[in-house]
Amino acid sequence: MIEPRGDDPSIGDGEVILRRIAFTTIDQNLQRRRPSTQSFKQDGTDGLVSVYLLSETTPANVIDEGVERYLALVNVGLLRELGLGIVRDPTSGGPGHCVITGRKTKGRLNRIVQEAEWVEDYRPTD
Amino acid sequence: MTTIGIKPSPTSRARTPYDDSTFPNNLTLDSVFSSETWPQPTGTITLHVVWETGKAPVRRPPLATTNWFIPTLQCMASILLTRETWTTGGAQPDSSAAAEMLNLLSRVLDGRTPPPDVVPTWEGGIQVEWHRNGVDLEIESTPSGDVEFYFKGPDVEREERAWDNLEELAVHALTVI
Repeated sequence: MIEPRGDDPSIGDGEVILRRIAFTTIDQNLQRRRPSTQSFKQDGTDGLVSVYLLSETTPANVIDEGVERYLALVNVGLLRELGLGIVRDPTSGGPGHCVITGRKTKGRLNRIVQEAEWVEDYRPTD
Repeated sequence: MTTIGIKPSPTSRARTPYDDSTFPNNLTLDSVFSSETWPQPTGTITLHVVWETGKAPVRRPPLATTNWFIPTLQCMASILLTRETWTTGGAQPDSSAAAEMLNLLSRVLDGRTPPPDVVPTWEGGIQVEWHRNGVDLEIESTPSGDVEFYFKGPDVEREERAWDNLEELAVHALTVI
């Protein structure tokens, strides 16, 4: 059972996470396409969001050939700055699998998607 | 022929400020999906939107002539008919959430408002969003009928229930024009 507000201090702020992205939006303020905030809201009724540590896997291992066909990168330090946490979830998802914990308000999600970067080989066309 | 049927809601609670007397009850997909860039799904969806015509405080042009209505309907229909959803167990898109969103948008958007991006939510709802003119505006409807908005401008950040704050939402929506 994963604690909804848990955080694993062994995962450093300098780590980078990979997140599969299905739906994107054009941000004219940033002048680029970025993930919709819905992409980081939840993966289940428990509100947790499935991600992978880049240091422990590769984009090719994470990418899904279905709807979630893009990959975004986010710094763990940003999650913590926003009051969110990250814990390992080795029971599902394979190597490097973790979940983002904490309350994902729209303000927090908006900041995450604005700072998210695309994995070059798995980015949407503008 | 496949159609998008728009019917009055059995429980009317809002009066759209638009003059909908000329709005068709059914739009053919052939006309809605007129661009080759849109998928051509087949099937029928019915949106139970509150289309109450009559006297309103402010008369606006027919919905079909606004900048945002037809493109938004195209996106919603595409999501609903292709049942585009999340691969990680998300709910199927729900037509009642789309209808509630159209109902709300008809109350708060100006005819000049540009069309939003439309995405499905994990719960089966609909989210529309604009990110332009230095502001972020997102509106999310759920299958249970709740609608919330998020607005971030240079000096303000708000996250509120939409139906309880229609006037505020309408003011925020003007900033994306």
